[in-house]
Amino acid sequence: MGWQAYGLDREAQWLVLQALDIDNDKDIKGDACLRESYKMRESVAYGLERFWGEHMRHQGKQEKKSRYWKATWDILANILGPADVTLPNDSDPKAMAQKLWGEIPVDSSGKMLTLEDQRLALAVLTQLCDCLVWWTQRYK
Amino acid sequence: MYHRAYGIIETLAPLHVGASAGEETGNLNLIFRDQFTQTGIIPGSSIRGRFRADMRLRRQQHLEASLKAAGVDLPAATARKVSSPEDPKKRLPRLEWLEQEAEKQSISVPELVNENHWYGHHAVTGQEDGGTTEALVKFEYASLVWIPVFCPGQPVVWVSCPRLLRRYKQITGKPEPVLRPKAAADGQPKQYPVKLREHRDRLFFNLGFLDNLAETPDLSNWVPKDSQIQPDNLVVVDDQDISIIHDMALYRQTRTKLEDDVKKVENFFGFEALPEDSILIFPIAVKDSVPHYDRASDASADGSARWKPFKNRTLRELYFGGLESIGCGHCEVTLAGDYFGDTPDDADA
Repeated sequence: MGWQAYGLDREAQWLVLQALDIDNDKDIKGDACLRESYKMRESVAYGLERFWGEHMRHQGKQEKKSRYWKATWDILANILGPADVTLPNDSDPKAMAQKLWGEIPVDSSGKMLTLEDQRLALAVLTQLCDCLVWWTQRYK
Repeated sequence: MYHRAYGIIETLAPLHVGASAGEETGNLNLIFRDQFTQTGIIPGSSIRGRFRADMRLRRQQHLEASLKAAGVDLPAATARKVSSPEDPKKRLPRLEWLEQEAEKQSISVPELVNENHWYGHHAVTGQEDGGTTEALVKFEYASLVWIPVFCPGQPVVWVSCPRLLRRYKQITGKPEPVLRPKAAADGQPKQYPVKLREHRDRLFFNLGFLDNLAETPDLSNWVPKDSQIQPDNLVVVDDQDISIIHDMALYRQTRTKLEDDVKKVENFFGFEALPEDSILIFPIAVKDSVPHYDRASDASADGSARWKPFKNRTLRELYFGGLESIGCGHCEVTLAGDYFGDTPDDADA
């Protein structure tokens, strides 16, 4: 294959359009999630754990925002799959914490998240959020 | 017709050669690029301009020293404009004033430090054909050989592509065939030649990754031999992939110009630059009416002047491009090749 792009712009545009749909739909009653992308870009500076934690924080209170954050994480995990980096995606915060810190395997294969994987995931997440911000600027 | 020579540029700071902030206010200031690989270049005219400006300074210093020796009172060292002796209301640039005084004293400038001799005389009004002359020394554009790219979680790697390596080979006369990614015989994915400090099977970048890396120990032969940086993480990618990797490698900043009296943004501008530790190469042609330059003997048979832009050295720090005042353009230039008495690479073998 050789050079393989993550296709970040395409994923980011899709995410932003989803957020825009939610915000525009009166029936769904969104929580103004479009502008969450700026917060996402800010939060990557604090690491993967805190980024993932944000969707937990919104859960039950601002469900739409929570889903936007989670969707972004899901897409990051999808992007990193072909690069052979398995990003944990649990619903249990305790298990997530351990997996993200490389204390227990990320899946049944016994693979751990290495420091190198963490740095890679964070770099890709940063780029993805940059793309999200760009598309948000375009549509807001 | 020509002696062959070349220059290797290693950037010690980000290097921006392209539009400058003053020309495109509030915009993105892009660097000049090669049209095929879309990678950064320094035009030959910019290189010549730098060499010309440096030699002009040497000519000025020569004039000042000679005039001083002849007992002429020189204007203050920092005075950029000087009153004309004939007409005190007329202000002349310092160099022009020195030239006029030197003419009165019949002081001539040796060819060695005369930039108009080597790089062609600029146009002057009132003379046939503007008084221009053909340059004795010609520069072509500098292209990248290796550009360092950030790899998250991994060491920085220097990237090149067959097209850029081919130009390097053309200029230096390197005998080996250009290394390129090879498709395996059974139609398997291409294998990318790499030399990596630690054995790895893939390299990650911000926007994608490379796999199918093939260990290639002699890849380091493609790093210029006097290079100060000697990277040990090298990878050669396809010609069509270099542009996206080059784009990830560029140094980018958004800057603001504040208003003079209040802390309020007057305008925004962004700029890009080649990162530090990039390696570029440019060819130089020296007309063969100029005697060959042998560093060891440092004399020509007929006593005529030779082109020695760095005096008796072949390595010098020079500033190229714009945004110098905000930390760009610091480079180290090494001159090499046939004209400088270097044996071609194949003579080593």
